[in-house]
Amino acid sequence: MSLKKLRIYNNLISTPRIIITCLSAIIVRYYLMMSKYQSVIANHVEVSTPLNSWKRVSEGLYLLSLNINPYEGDLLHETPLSLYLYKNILQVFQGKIHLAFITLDVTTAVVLYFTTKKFTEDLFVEEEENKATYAKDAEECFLKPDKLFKSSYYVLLTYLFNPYILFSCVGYSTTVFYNLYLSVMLFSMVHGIPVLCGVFLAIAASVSFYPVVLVLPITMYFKYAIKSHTKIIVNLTSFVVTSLLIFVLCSNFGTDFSYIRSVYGCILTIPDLQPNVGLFWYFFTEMFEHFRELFIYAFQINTTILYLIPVSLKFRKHPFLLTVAVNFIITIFKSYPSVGDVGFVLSLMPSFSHLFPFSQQGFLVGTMLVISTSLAPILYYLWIYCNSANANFYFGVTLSFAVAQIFLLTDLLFSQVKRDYMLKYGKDRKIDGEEGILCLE
Amino acid sequence: MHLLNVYFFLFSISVVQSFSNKNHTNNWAVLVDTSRFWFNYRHVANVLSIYRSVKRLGIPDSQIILMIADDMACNPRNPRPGTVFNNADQHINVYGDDVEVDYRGYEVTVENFVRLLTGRLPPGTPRSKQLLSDEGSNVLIYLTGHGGDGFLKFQDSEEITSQEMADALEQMWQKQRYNEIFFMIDTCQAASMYERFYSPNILAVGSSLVGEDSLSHHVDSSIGVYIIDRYTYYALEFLEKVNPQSDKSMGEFLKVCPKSVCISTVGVRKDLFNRNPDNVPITDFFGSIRPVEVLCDLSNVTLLQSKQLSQEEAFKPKKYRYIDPIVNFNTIKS
Amino acid sequence: MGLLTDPTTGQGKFIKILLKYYSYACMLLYIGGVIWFLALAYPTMNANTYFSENALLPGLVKSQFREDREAARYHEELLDEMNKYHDSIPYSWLLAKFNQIGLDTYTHNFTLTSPFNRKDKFSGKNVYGILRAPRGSSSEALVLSTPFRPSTSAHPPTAPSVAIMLAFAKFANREKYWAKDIIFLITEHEQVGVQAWLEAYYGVSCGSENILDHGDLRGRGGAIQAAINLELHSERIGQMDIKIEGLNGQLPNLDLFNLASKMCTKEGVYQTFKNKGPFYSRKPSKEWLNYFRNMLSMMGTQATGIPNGNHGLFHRFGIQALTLEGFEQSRAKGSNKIWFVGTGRIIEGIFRSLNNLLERFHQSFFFYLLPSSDRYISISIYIPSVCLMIGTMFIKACARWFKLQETSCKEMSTETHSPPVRIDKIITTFLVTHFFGVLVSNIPQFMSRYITSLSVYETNVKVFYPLLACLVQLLFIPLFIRMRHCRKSMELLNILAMLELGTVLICISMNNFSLGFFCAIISVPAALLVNPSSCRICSYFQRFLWFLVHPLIILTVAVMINTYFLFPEERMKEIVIRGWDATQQSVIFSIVDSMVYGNWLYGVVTNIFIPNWLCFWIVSFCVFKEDEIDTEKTEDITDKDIKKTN
Repeated sequence: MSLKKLRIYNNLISTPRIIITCLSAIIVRYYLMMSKYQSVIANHVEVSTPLNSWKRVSEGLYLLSLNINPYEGDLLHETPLSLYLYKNILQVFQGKIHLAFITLDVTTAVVLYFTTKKFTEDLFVEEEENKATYAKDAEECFLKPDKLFKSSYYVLLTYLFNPYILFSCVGYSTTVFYNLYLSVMLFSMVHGIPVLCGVFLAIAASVSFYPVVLVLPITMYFKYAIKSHTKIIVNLTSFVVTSLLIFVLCSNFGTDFSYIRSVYGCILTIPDLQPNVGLFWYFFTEMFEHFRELFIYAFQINTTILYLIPVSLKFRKHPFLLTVAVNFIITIFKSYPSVGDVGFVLSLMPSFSHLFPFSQQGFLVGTMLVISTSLAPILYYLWIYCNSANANFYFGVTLSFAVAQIFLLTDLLFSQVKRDYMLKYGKDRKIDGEEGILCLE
Repeated sequence: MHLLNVYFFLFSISVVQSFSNKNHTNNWAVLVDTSRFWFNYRHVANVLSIYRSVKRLGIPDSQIILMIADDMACNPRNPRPGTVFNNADQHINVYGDDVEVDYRGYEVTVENFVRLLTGRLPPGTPRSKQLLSDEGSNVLIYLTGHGGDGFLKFQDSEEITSQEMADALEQMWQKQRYNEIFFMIDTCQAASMYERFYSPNILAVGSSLVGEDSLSHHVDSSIGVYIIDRYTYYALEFLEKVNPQSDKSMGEFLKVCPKSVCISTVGVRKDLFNRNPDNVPITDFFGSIRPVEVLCDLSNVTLLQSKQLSQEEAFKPKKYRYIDPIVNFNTIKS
Repeated sequence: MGLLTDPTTGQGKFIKILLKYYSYACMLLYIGGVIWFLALAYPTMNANTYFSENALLPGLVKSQFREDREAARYHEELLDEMNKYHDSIPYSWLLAKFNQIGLDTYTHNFTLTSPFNRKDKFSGKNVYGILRAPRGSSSEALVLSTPFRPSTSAHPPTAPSVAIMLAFAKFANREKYWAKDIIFLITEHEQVGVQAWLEAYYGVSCGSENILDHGDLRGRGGAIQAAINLELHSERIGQMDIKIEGLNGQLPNLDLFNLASKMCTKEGVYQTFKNKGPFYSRKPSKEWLNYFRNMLSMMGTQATGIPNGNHGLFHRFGIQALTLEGFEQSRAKGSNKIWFVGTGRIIEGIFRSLNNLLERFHQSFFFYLLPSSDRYISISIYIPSVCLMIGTMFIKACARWFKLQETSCKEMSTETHSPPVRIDKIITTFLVTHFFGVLVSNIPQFMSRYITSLSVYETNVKVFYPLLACLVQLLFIPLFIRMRHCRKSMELLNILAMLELGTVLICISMNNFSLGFFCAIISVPAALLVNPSSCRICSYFQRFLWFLVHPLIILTVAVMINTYFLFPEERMKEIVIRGWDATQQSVIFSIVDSMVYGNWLYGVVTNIFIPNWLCFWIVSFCVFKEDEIDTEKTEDITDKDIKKTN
């Protein structure tokens, strides 16, 4: 019965529409890349961090072409494998780098589209199956198929026309590649392809290290959504094997380990304190040198494992949400975030459109994001070029940017909790005739 | 065991008493300017003026550790290159021909200062950079710079706290690196620096109490900077009248610069000091006693002293008992 | 865990209160902002200026400048030279003098292409000499600049400042205490010369491409830390005015202003800011009025974003700079006049203090207002006034948003279906208005670049009238928007526009407080009054009101008032004609400024304010019937009842 229903909604979004959307996105990107704004965008610290700036990559490729080890200086923080990939991509696209970036970005969007499509279908099927167990008056929070099946298209739209993603693509930041890895990982996870999932998780982790913690949510997904233990094992094995393979290839069959210090050393110990949209740079510029180590541990634990276990326990029944949430936490607290990372998680938000009626802080978060995003470049200009503002101004903006993201995340998670409660106990929240209050403890 | 303890206890009391009665055998001076930059010209002038005075009163260069954080004489802004004056009349160039700066520029750090006092310098440090004092040394420590409540700024980048200062002096005492210390500091809120001291035989004076600013004395309008601080100015005025034979006492020196001229209140701490400052000749700290010099007009005192010294000879082997046991162990081993 | 508990519980009440009282709250906040602003001029809200940079050591040094005879001789010679060359800079004479003094002397050529007519080119020549720091490392530099004005110039003469600069160069070259290079710069063509020189010094281009060809410099000093620009109109100075407002409303560090002010006082010249000296009065009301006028006058200059002297162009490069303008006549009675000795000593004092600096100016304030030359208001004190006003935008947007949600909730419960909200259409409308804004901002370039046949006409015909025509056409946009019949869509557009306005005002206030404040005080109350409403009279009133705050109308009114005060004796008709001409001129100048200097006022107005204005304009054209919803509701209820009975 549910499959029948699904078929009705399958053609809600027509293929031509998707193609037109993608085409217009390509045109916008192409126009911006050809205009004089490209270099302006690429030079913004919000877009290009030491980890993902294309300038550094091309510098590294040049050094490589001269047979100089690019990791000897403090310049390049990409893995040798990525560098090899960039080199080949440049050859394939015959140096037309903008075409490569546009292709990859649009691919990511399409992959995300199919990911969300599968996810919403699964969600719908699951609800149809469980409808009997829900409370009687919970009807109004049932999924509305006409809205639900449009959300995949909205994901596509938000990804393609999200200014954060747009800037990061136009500014040639290698976050575009990273986003592609993550999206393929999510895609294969949702479609239950453990090998591909493990491989791309390993690639993403090798590029930016933090995705390592996604192992847990992905395992949860295979356990609770796909319910297959063999797939968990296959997934973990493929992750480990690929990671080892990457390590072997990167280290040139165990002969050259210089990249480890440049890539993971840079991510973990934050030697480069160039400002970015994250929170690390300010703390580590202000900190006394002898506290540095302690706070590096504190901050990195905060980013990786502090919230991982409690969130995983609470949301094990919603492993897709869990995966996105953990990725969101990484994005907020990682050492060198860029707007491309933020844009990636934000564009996944429409896939939780069924939670929107329960969210409360959408307006606040939206306003905060808009204000902080528009103030950031202005204050950076006043600070660095005009010399009149100072680091505190800019940090205030990045702090409010982070707070807005945290609000969004907690709001999203709490919406899920509320929805679960509503489905289980119904709309009525009265305790002894009085209005009850939902609390998380 | 108990007997042994009691014996040590009695012994230590007797040692402390004998030390306090004992006179010193040599003099050292540690003179520190902690601030750099052209507008802190006066701090360099302060420390160079004190340097000049103690040198005039007989402490040799080998026993003066002079730390100066910036080179004012060769600053391009100095209209009189190669000179530093401490008075607008410019009759004394305190950066004269024979100034030996032991620590200069970025060598003046908290770490180097504490290492110098406590004698924990790396092997191979030249003698001119070491404070080679012993249990018979009277040490003059003079500090000038920018201070706050409980700290003194070094080089605009780091600071020494009053507790660190007090601990350094205690370590000196435990290592028997001094007989008596005269601690003199000319900074804002200077009194906060000596409040934490807990080691014996220290006489401390600061240019201002906690909560007060120390002020500069006057401007040399041809150089365009404040040229000396008030407290040091009046202290120097006093010291200028002192000669190696004079009988001025520390008590008189402590009364230098009353509030009417200093504007800040000069703070004094005597409770750690076992003698009455009025009976202590100023040359005990600002002058120098060398073992070879015997003063004829104080023959009685020197006789007494030599007697006491000879009594001390008997206890000499045991004087290292304050030193860390591990260090002691090592030395025995080697 | 406050964040993780149910947000509805606490907020529910809060939202109810917000929905009930938001209009009062907005009104109160707005009035609060205005009162706060008025109170800024009250002496308890502002403080005495003080030096926070210790290194400056202002005024400690004894002045030694005695080259007044040389200055007088240079002045005479220069006047002779100027008689020989009527409208160009006597650079050979200047070069000879600089060389004689013993400086490294260079010239700098630059070319300006007219933005509206590519065939017109103006070229100019700057002369500069560098005094190398005798014992320093030449890594830092100070600038003493003066605009050269030929005798045909419309501006008051500056020959005395060139003379005193030469005399000071001669004096300074003898002294051995300079730790920084001093660059003596004499520029031609007012601000264009300085802009070209600075662009050449840093090798960058600030304005549009191919407008200002900044040429190249053959000699450079260290990184420039501060600059003093001299505009002395006479050998005898009775009043020294300090000018600080720079490009895009940027100000120099307050310490530099204090320094200049202190040096002037030390030499005994009547020192003013905005033509007013230090002011004291026993009457608080009189004192307040005086401070307030002075503050407004400063804000007026700052808001235009046009530098009021050559110093204003240095600020962009992180160089602290101000202009000393000397007048012979003094406004103060009985104040004494200083001669070349005095002005020379003022310069000497300032430069010796700047020479003492060890790092960039960073201590004191960069964001401040000056109600008098010895009082200042810091950013933390003045920013609340504008924040209160802008806050109303967000509060109203928030309240409207929740109201919208509430009604949609009600509709959900009553299962009515008013015309669906098409978010995509709203966003399209929003984007289209901004697209028009981009078009408008590009009109001048387009007209000048592609329509060459028009080159016979005057600039205002070529540029201003097409612009005006476009703006007038844009007024008819609302008629083409069909969704103005949908109340909810209009509400959403209104919220979007309010959020945009609020954000833009915050951003502008950060850059240029005065501009942000004036925009806020005008646009916020009007924006608060614009609502999608069904009442016909209200809606006409809204349209009229909102029409009045069109950027061009505001500009016209402001210019008219200004004209009226400048020419009070003329008749109304003449004032209107003059004012209209001046408005055209000011629009054209702001376009030129944006192309030559990179002034962003024109860009911001056309790219952001006009589209935003259009959004509100569309909202005010909202047409729907109030009873529409009500009837539907009743119908639905009856439907339900019928179902129930069935």
